[in-house]
Amino acid sequence: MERTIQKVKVEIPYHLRQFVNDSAEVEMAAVDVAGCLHDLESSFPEMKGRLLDGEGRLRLFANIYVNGEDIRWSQGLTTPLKDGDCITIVPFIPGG
Amino acid sequence: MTDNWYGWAGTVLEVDLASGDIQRKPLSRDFAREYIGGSGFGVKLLYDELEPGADPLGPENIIIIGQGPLAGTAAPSSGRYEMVSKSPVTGLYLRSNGGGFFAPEMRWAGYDLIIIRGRAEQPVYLNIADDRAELRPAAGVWGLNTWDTEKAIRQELGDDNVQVLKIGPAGEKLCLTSCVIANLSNAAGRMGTGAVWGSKNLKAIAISSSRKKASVARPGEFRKLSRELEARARQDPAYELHTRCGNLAWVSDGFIKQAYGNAFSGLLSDRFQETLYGDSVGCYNCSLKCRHYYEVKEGKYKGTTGDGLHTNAVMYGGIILGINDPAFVATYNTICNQLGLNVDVPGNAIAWAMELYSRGIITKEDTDGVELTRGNEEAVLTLVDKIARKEGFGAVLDTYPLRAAEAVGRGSERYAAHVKGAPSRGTGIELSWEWTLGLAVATRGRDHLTGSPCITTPGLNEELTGDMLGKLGQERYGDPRVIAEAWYYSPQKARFVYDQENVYACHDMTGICKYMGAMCLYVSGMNYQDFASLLTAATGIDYTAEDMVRAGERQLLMERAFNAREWVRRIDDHPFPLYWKLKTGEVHPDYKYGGQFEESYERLLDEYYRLRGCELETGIPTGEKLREMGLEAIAEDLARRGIIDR
Repeated sequence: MERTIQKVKVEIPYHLRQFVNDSAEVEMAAVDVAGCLHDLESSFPEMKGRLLDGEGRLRLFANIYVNGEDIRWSQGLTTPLKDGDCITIVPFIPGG
Repeated sequence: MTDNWYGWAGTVLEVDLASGDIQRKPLSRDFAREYIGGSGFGVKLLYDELEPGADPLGPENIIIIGQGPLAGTAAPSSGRYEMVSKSPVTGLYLRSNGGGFFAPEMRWAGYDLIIIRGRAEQPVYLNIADDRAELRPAAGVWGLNTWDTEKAIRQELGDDNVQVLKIGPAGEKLCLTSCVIANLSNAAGRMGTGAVWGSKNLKAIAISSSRKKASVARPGEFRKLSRELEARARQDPAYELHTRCGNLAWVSDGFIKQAYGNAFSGLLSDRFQETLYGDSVGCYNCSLKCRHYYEVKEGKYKGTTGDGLHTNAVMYGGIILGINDPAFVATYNTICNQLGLNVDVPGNAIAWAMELYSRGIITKEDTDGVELTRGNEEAVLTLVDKIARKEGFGAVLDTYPLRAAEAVGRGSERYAAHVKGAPSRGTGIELSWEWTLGLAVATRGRDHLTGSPCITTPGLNEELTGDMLGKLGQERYGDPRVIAEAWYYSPQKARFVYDQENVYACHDMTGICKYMGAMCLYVSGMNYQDFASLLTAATGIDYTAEDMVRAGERQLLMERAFNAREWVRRIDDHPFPLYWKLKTGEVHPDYKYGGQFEESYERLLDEYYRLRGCELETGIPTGEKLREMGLEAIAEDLARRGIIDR
């Protein structure tokens, strides 16, 4: 089935907001999570490398949730998006 | 009394603060051989002496300070002591480990254990000088910060070399975030140790020895082993990183570069070295010297000095608060150490409040007028001070996470992540299966020092490790992916945690720093055979690697038994989102874990319980396992209380 581009909301954690003009959330349009994150990096070049590594894989230290569900335990970066979905980025914070 | 002891000093100092009675008692040889020392001594004594339900801040709680038979010897990094008590934060087993120079001094003065009971009518400190021990009035130092306390006690005793373990104003106020500190920054930091001391009106323990020597049974063999271990450690790929900049270089730098880029580039280790750091400083007999003296030389924090700035200070005094200034992090670190606050928790609690503030759940009316926006350095320092003095909103934050969330209400508990009542950042589902499981099953609540495999976090230092993690996985578990792949599911991930817990326990029983061990060195960290060889040479009693595994198992079983006797069950061994789901019957609104993750976690927990010898349904040690480990009395006690079947 052909998938269509959906409008979604991306919640930006405090630690990364300076890379997206200090916005707490940005709106993106994408088919799936990979597309959304690639577009996020394209729109805000300083985000590049924060979530995806050089080979386009999700970084170990970035957790991505779609409507509260961790994509590692659904379909990963190919998790499809639907209109109005909320994507949350939770970077791991070092320390004990 | 101690002439024919090797390894152990042979003496226990028992202090009753209520009566002022102080007794030196011989250490039982059977007890010493069986429980080894440090945390091993502590958990056995605490289990036997403290009835479940005892008030952690009541006179019935006891403070046990133990050091191991390797402390104060020629063994590398052998300067650790262990403090054991019941935690006022969780109401569970508390063990907290500290470095510096207190443990060797205690060993040289002739003591394996200091046990403190009761409550003094007035503030006191315990002064020990070799065979002599006395309680002295502490009115003159009550209210002083930790650094001034040390100075004043040394001045009063006329000895600049006396080692002083002490609390600050936070411990005196019974803050749950308080700790006990040796030297400038060597904290037994977690789980409210300072409050337990404060509740007993115990300000400090000063200790000095005229001997400066620990006897070992086979000195030549012991020295040779120690030299070999030191040489081996120096070959480890991670050794140089540690000596360069402590754990900033191998932990926070990796995360900052990958996850945050320029947002927190000010907190990279190079920035600390360029702007703040002076000489490196180590604990007793440690060549790693993972700490540095620091001084802020310019700006609004000019004049701040201190040492012992680790990744947790960068995280809890910087990143999590939205602050990117090494001078501020150094200042936060120094203030916490001086007030006698655990560096980790105040920042964590304040970050939680910032989250609530940004969401409009709390306002200035709740925060005593403090503008709690992220990055507000003044607000952070104001609240740290209020926490230590239990003033206003600070008194609420001091009880983070559970009681603080209860006090605030308004749905704030969904942001107050915890395991067994101990605060957790984020979800607790972190980095890898072994981290997630290790943090959740830790006996003192969410904790990376009980069993989480730190150095072997995949992706942390890939340039350094190359395919080393795969090789380690193959060597230890017959499967390279067990260590090399973070979220690769295998029952061996549970064994990985089980092994880490056991070998970490060996460090805490013997007095060796985990930084020189499996926590921070990839291939050269001390293993069971190393501990067995050193203990044999130190004590003259033959220990095998199998004995050390068994010792680790016994310790963890006793800790789990202690917690089970209070209230811990299987539900409490889950990361926060799964705990939430089990407790409320609903998925966590922000972290909807279930399905494959939940099923995999439960299978992993089952496997962990099988390895530990615990009932799958409850997580409580089985009577059979306890008896197999020679812990019949504990099995009988749990059965008598109806906690396990006979």
